[in-house]
Amino acid sequence: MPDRHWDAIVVGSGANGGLAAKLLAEGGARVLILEAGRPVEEIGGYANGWMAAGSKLNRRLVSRRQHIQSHHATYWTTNPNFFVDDLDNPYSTPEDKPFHWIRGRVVGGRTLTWDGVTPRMSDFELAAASRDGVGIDWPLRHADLAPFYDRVERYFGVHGNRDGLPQLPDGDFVSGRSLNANEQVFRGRVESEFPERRIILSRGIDAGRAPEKNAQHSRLSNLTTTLRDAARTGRAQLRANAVVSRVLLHQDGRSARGVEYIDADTRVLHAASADRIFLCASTIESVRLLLNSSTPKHPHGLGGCSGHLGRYLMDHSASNLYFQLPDVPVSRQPHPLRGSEAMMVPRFTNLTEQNADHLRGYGMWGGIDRIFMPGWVRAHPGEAFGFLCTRAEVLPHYDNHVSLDPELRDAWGIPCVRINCAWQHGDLAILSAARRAALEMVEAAGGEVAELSEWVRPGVSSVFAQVEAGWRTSVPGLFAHELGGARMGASPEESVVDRNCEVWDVKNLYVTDGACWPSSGWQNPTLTELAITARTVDVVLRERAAKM
Amino acid sequence: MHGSPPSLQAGDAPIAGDEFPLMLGPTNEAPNLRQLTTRKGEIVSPIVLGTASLGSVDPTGLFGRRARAHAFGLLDMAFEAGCRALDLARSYQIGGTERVVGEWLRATGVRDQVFLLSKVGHPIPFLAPNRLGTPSLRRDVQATLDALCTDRLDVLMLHRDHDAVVLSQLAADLVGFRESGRTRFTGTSNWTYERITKLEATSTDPVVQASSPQFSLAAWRAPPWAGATSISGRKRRYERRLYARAGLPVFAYCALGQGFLGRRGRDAAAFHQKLNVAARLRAETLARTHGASVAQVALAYLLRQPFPVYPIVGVSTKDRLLENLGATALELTPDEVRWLDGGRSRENPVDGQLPEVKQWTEVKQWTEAKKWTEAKKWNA
Repeated sequence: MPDRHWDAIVVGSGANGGLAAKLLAEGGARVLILEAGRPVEEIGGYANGWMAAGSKLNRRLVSRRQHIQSHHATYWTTNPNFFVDDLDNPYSTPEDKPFHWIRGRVVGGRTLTWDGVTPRMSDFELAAASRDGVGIDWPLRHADLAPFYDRVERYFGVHGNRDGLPQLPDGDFVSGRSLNANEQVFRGRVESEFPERRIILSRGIDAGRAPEKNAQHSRLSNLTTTLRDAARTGRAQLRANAVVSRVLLHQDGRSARGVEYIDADTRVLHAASADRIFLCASTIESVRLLLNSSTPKHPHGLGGCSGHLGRYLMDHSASNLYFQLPDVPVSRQPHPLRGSEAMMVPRFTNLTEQNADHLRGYGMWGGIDRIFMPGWVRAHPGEAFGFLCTRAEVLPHYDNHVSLDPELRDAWGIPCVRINCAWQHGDLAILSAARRAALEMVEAAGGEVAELSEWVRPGVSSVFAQVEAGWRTSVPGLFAHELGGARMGASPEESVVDRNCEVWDVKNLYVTDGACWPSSGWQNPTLTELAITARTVDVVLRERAAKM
Repeated sequence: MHGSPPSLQAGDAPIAGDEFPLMLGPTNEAPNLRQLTTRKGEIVSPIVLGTASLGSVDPTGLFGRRARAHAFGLLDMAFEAGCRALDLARSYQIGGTERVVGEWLRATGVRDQVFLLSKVGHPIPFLAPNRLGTPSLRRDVQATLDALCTDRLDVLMLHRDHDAVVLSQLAADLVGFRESGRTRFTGTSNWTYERITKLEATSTDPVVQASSPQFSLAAWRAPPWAGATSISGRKRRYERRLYARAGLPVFAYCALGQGFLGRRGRDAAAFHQKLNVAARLRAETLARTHGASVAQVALAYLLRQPFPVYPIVGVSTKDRLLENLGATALELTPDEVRWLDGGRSRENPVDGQLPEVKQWTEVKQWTEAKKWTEAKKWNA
């Protein structure tokens, strides 16, 4: 079916797809956004926990169509429809290597369910490989990304304090917030014993997942930011229910000319052509598209001749620690937990020298009196209650990879992936060190670490036992920070895409989401992904302007 | 709360400061309170004998013969057993305790082989609520030294705190007592850590070299008298951490919770509350695995804190005293101490298993008055 020719096609309408579309459209390009999921309006917006209870029960007990997605913390608190249907969209894993692939197949993607925590990455992470020899260095440094970090931070209104830490570069922040009183007590106690473990105000977007009054969507979701701005230019068109099955190449096989997609409802095959294709489908989906687009000239998938396509899949390993401070009374008024309002402990190991029993670093995110726990659930309701969530850098392992499953097909007949990913020795070492450090900090503050199920009242403890068992050591994928698979590098021999995210073997094809990451860092990845996307679009628009 | 005590996994390294070595061996270093040493440098048992009930208030000695005989017997027996540190106070039996201990010291001539701690400046109800001024302290110290027939104490402590006291003067007085040779060490009793820090800040010389709050595995339900301070229990976790950070030695009174962790059980009403019952149950579990008594576990818990703790226990029979002294030989791992405390043991987060949660029901049974078979067993 003939379609008009576009300047650019963006696959995926999540954080990266939205930003790419907005920047391209604002730069004068005509953009087509293809989203496999449905518009939010069709599936109902944000539902609070109690309203969604019936639907959740149905899903959990009767239909059981989201057995993987329901592991995710926000599955219960946002809207199950924001997540993908696991039966229509299967994937396989080896029996002994579970991977919880959390996907948001909906217009807006996972911006509907994220937290909006947006720390920058530093050269400690970007140039880590040249220090310890694991993996490859990023072809980019903080200085390359800084202007784009600035731009993205200004656009989203990132809050934070300028702490002047080399391992967590400051940005263009809106300031004015502070830790709550009990967090300040915690900070004082911990920093007096561990001066190098700084407890700072989290950096992030000042919005919760729930929409504010009279708003249809939260300011965290790109429905109210990038996608809206893209639409306003009049040069961007969004097609929902468009399941992209592969990238089409020109005759010579050296450059991309368009994509092929299936209408999710009618199951009719369409094609769309464009000068440039941006894959922002989420890390594993983008890799899957590259693998599924193989041609005789690219037998191992687009970008596959380096041998690195699909390799080095990563996720942050996370561990939650709950604690109470027995001598600190609980706050009278509730405090929100959001990207801009929480505690953050930036990486503090292996900075100036390798001084720990693990490689790279880990950070923590947490809060005190920010999670609503009704008094009747708690054994000590009058005491301050907090949590620390450690997130550690996972090393890029060649063995952790995504490949095509030879048999499995999704509901539209598109080959599915087999995910082969597990925490390996070094990853377990850092995960363990991070949890130990969190324990030490809680003890230094006079806090009591206990599993939730141990100190909440006996009747409800089994519910918590189930939740916390999953969060003691996060299963790969569960933290939803999956990265890698089409890593960027300085040469085509060692990487899949170049520093501008363009696939080495296929011109005009860009992978700007998490798939292009050569290492994971410890920081929440979205801001850096956005900065990389912004940088790529900037390069593309410059090239385009030069040609015209 | 856990159903079973933790076991130390191979490869778990204890963290620094987790273990406090009980016996460092004789040393010629500058004297400190990392262990209790007599004036001659001999190390004595870290279990301190409580003396508050010894002696009698009768200064004439006419009515106190029985008390005197009992005191002599107990002191002889304690000395023989190696329990040679005594916790005294000017105020005990209105001076009667120090009098009888002084007589015993003179009769046996063992002053240089025992470690004497005494506390001065105790208020007199209604008449003198603040006796921390220089004249009162000097009077008390002189009276104590006279009564004990010695020229020098091992530790001199202020018995109580008072809001109205001038801290800089107090610090100067204490340092003065030490520098004039009337005591080897100085310290405070029943001062909160916050006040100790303030007192310390007024002087360049060390003022508080030891502290004596209540400390045991069980926390009291409420302070038994106004001004009593404790570092026991969940609510005092941070204060204990500060002690550990500073390495400040503690002479712990009510070290067995007035017998709650010993034979008296729930008869020790001031300590009978749910969390203490749970703590006692944990101590019982550990006692079974170590083949020790509950009191020994409770004392070993104190001895294995990351800061020096000297439990003060008052006893009346030889058996009890020997049992208590046996605690010094009971090795508890840092994990076990943490577990006794009600916290998680040092865990391996990677393949850690959730412990069984069953103690709540046990606690419930224990607390119900009708099911007191356990308690009767202890009291038997």
